[in-house]
Amino acid sequence: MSTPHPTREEIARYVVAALEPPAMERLEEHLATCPECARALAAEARFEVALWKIVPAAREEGAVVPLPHRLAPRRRTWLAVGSSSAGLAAAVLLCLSLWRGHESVRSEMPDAGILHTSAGLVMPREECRAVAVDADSTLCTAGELMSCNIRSAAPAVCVEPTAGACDGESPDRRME
Amino acid sequence: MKSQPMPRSGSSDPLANADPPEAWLVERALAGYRDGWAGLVARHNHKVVVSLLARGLSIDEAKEIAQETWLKLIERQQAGRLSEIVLPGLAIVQAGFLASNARRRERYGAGQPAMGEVAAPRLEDAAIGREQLARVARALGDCPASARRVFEFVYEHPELSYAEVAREMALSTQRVKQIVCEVRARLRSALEKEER
Repeated sequence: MSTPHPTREEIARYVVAALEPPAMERLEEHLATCPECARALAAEARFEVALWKIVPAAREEGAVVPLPHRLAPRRRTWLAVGSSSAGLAAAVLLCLSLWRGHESVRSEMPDAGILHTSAGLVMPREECRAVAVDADSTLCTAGELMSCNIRSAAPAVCVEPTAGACDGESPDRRME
Repeated sequence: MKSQPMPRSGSSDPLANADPPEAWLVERALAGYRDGWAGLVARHNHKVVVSLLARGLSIDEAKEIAQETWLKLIERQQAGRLSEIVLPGLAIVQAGFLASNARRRERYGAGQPAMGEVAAPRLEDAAIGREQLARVARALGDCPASARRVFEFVYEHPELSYAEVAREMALSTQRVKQIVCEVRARLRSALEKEER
């Protein structure tokens, strides 16, 4: 290894793009060849992805300082489905599907490999705990649902309802 | 792909700005202009890469798939199948799909090792439960109000660059980055402490 291991703080700074470009490049060179640091990077990236979801949610949970009006978050952010009735309808449909399953699609499932959705799209089955398709044909899996832009009640299908996916929460709350 | 600029309109021309606004870039990209896409890639590519790293891809794999992601989106736009661009969410979803597809191909392909072998326990899975939400809310509550405000603004507006956030909050870009790193470290520490 030609370069020293980065500190955890440096890896965190890389993840949030707070390093200067030369430092980013040096770190990437090291990470490409050091499995130990690559694991640390993966963990840090997972934490970052979690923050994308939980910081806005935690704000709604309370214990936060209200933003000035002009800085208040847009109603529809990259993590939210939106407040339009069509988006809400899609969210409700999807969450109900998550909960109950969708027999017509379930019956089309192959034993392994891929899933053909009712929209004619194909997804790897392991990612298909839930699938939504928005008006732009953007595919959303369960884990990515929160970052998807669902704008219409397009085909929302479900395979293998995820335990706890909607536990104790109304669909609209989860999607908000 | 078009390369010529749209008609300019006096001194408010975003092209003269080193950090043109997201809405303007989106408009350009939707119209098929190269500079619009270039600006969006510059602004959001790192988040796409991070989302792929979180799936356990190596940095080289993540960069490769991120590049493929943008090409796919540009193809969709050129084919008239992209009427709206909400980033980074759209690119992250597309990248996730490509990564899953690549993993499936490898898994059922020529016996190559599957992508994502760096994967470790999924902290985010644990972190999005109600209890963890409450922990984050508590940890955020313990931060100074000014730092909290900046941190929350950054995470609620992923479409903004640090420079734009800095302008909004009347701070320097370096200060915004510093706050993000400090608050993030506190949150992580709080979550880890309570999990032990």
